[in-house]
Parts: sequence; structure tokens; C-alpha cells
Amino acid sequence: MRPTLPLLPRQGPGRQRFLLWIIALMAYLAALALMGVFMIGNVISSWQATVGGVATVVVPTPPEGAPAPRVVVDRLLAVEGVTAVRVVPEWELDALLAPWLGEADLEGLPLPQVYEVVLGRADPARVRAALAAVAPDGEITEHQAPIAGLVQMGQSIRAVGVLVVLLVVAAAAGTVVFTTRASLVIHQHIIDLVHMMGATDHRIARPFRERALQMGLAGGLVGVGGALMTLVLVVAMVDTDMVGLSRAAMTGWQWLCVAAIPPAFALVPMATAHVTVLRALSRLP
Amino acid sequence: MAGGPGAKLGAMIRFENVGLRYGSGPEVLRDLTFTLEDGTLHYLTGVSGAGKTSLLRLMYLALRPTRGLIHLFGHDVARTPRHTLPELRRRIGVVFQDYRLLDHLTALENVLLPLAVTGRLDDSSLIHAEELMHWVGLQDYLHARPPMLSGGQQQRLAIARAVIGRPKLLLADEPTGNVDDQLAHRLMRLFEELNRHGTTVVIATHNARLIADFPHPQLRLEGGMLATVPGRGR
Ligand SMILES: Nc1ncnc2c1ncn2[C@@H]1O[C@H](COP(=O)(O)OP(=O)(O)O)[C@@H](O)[C@H]1O
Ligand SMILES: [Mg+2]
Repeated sequence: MRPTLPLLPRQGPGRQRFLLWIIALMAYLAALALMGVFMIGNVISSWQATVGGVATVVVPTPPEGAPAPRVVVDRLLAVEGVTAVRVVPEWELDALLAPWLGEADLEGLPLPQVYEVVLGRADPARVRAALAAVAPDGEITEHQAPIAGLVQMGQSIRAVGVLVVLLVVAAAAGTVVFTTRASLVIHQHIIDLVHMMGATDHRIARPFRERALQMGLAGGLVGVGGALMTLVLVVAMVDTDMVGLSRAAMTGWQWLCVAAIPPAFALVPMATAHVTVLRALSRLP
Repeated sequence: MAGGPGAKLGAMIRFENVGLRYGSGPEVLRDLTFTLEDGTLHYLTGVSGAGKTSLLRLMYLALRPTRGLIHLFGHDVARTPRHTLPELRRRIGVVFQDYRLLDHLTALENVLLPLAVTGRLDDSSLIHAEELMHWVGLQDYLHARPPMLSGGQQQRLAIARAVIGRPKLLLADEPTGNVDDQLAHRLMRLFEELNRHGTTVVIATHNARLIADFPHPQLRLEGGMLATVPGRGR
């Protein structure tokens, strides 16, 4: 004797397996898309942290005199977001120019003042304005510029990834609504019967909730497992150092988000099934 | 939530000017006004299509009346909040004309179903269910599935299931419709026994011989109206 009776007859194995694979496929897509979103995001931030965010400021030194380096440095540092300003020393400039000028005597040649500015999150327009205030002739070159396009593309791909994750979760919920509705129709006679016996709506919805939960959890685990295997395979096949894959490495909380897919695939359908059944039951007197 | 000023003490069911129509069809039941006292046994009679099943469905809260008032266990059904209706339904046992047994459960599980879906299953339930199976003569079919049982056996199983929750009100829709006279008599004796133990019983039937053999007051439906209203009291 079972402690509680199964309210619904067991589903045919074919139907059950079909649904499981559909849900697993969705979880697989969701997991891959989510991991893609995170990894692209990580690469973008690593680009922004290294190549991006550095600007070179060149201030000409006319005979009538240039502003004191100290003044320029202080003015630039005052801009919100700027994290560091370095005066490039003359010997470094000499070294830089040597290939062009040879061992020629540079004495007396009016070398410009050169500064390296670490922009951080600073707005380049403000840096430019600050420079203009102390040295109107100063010129600024952002090294971020060449990769700005790449960053933008990465961000677009990431947005598409987020969209895919949302769509897939919505599709999974839709699949559960559809299946639950079909199941409600098939088992209408049972529902009417136990409703009449005095079963509460919550009790009647239970087997539907449980089915959605089991299906979602199993499908979610299979799907995420498949996605991880895919990732491992990809990593094994490419030369990670060459592609710079290490920059994409996911952080702890990002792994946690991926691990949350199976529970999410269990809970969203469960809640959806519950609401669907309760709504159908509310039509009974 | 007790009945209005006119409510009689001990009234199990009270109908006041109740009318029922399905959708936009004609009124199937009209101006039904009657009271069934606690602890009584009544027949509900009338030709096929007279509205017996419809009236029972009003009584077991599967339908809401189009107009009029229904009081059940002293509650005005229309003004009872939906979430308390399950509690009222648990006090009603129904034997459906078409049994409505669940084929994926064994006979014994079918009997236990009303307890299982209302959280009333406990250690004594199984013993009680087996006793009931004995009482309806199905002790040898505890683990049989309904499709393996004959019509008469299914009928008795449906009766056992209807009474497992010790209902205050038992509604049986043509429970002797598909059985021979001998079994019909046996079922009637079961209903009378339940009635003696305090259950209010309403049996829809058009079996005139049964009524002659087991005389009880009648609610007679004709043209959607009550042609015979039982006398006050017995
Ligand atoms: N679900 C329904 N929808 C529409 N009409 C119905 C429905 N159930 C019963 N009726 C109609 O109500 C009338 C009474 O039916 P019913 O209550 O089943 O009578 P009885 O049980 O006495 O044979 C009949 O005319 C029948 O056609
Ligand atoms: Mg009928």
C-alpha cells in the first residue's frame, strides 16, 4: 500500500521521454548561451582593463614656454575616473626617437612633454576639456579607439545571448503550459471527481506540479551536463593560450548562475503548472 | 453562516425557489422548494430526463442554481466562500450513475481515494476500507482493477467509496440501474443500514418495484417541478 495514491495514471514512457528531451535541449541551449554571455563579457572587460583606457597626451613646448608638468598632471588627475597620470621622462622619449633620429645630438631639440593617462572609467571628453584648460595646444590620443568596435560587437553578441536565454526559458515555460493543459484535458474526469470529493485546488494541482518539477529538473540537469561537456570539448580542441581563452574564464558567481539552470528549469515550470491548473479549477463551482 | 430566519433546526438540505438551466437552454428545474430533514431517506423519482441527476448535482455542489437559494448543512451555498466549499463537499458521499471509478487504481485504492485526496488517510483507514469491501461483498477483489469487475461489483465499489468518509449526506444516482433484483435489494439494505446510523440518504431511481418493496418518502419530479413534496417530518 502506497502512503499516498497516485492521482494521475502513469504517463506512457514515449511521451515522457519525448518531453524530457525537449526540455533538455532547451536547457542545453540556455546553458550554452549563458556561458557565452559570461565569457564574452569577461573578454570585453579584460580588453577594457588592459588595452583600453590608456591615452597619450602630447604637449608641445614652444620657446615662449609650456605649462609646468605638475600643473598638467594635477589637472588631469582631477578628472573623475582618471586613475593615474605619468610623465614620460626624457630619456624614454630619446629611446623612442632613436630609431628615427639615430645617434644625433638631441640637445636643443624642443622635445614635447608626453604624459600617459590611465583613463579608468573617465569620460574621454572631460579629459580633453581638462587638457584644453591647461594646454590648449595639447593633443590626446586614446588607445582604446582601435578596439572600440570589437567591444561594441562583443556587447551586441552578449545582448543576443541574454535574449536567447530569456527566450529559451520562456519556451520551456510555454511547453509546460501546453503539456499541462493537454494533461488537464486528458484527466478532466479525475479532476472533476476529486474536486467533488472535497479535494482543495492546491491538492489537485500537486501531481501536475510534481510532474513539471521532475521533468524540468531532469531536463535541466541533462541539458546543463551536455553544455558543460561541449565546453570541455571546445577548450580541449583549441590552443587556449593562443586564443586568450583564459581571459574568458568564468568567475565563481558565473558558475553559480549556470548551476542555477536546473533548479530554474524545475521551479519555473512547477510554478507555471500550478497557476495553469488553479486557473482551470477556478472555473469549477 | 447559519441558515436565515426561516431555517429549520436539523434541516440537512433546504431549497427555496431553485431554478436551473444549462447555458441558454430552457429551465430544467423550476421553483423547487423543499426541505430534507437530517437523518431521513428519500427517493428522488421521475421519468428519464426529468432532472433527477441535475437536482443531485445541485445537492453535491457540482452545479450552481440559476436562481433561488440552496442551504446545505445550514450554509447558504451561494454565500459560502469558495475555499470553504471543499469542507462541505467532504461531508457528502456520491454514488454516480456511471460509477466514475479510476482504472489506474486498485479497488481498495479507489475506496481510499476520498480520504487520500483530502488528507484524511491514517493508520485505521486501510482497516476501515477493508471492512467496507467486506460489507459490499468485494472482499475477494481488494486488488482488482475496476475494468476487471462486473457492473454490479463496480456499483458496490462505488458505494463503498461513497461512504468511506462517513458522509452526513449520501446521494445515489440510480444505484440499482444496472443490477438484478436480488442485488438491488441487497444495495437497498445497505442504504437503509447507513440511514439507521444517521446518514441522510437521497436515492434517485425510477424502479417502482424497489420503491414498493422498500417504502420511503419521495421527491417526484415532473416537468422540472416537484409533483410530490414529502410531508413535513415522517
Ligand atoms: N450538461 C448538460 N447540458 C445541457 N443539458 C443537460 C445537461 N445535463 C442534463 N441536461 C438536460 O437536462 C434535463 C434533465 O436531465 P437529467 O438531470 O440528466 O435527468 P434525469 O437524471 O432525470 O434523467 C434533460 O433534458 C437533459 O437533456
Ligand atoms: Mg440521471
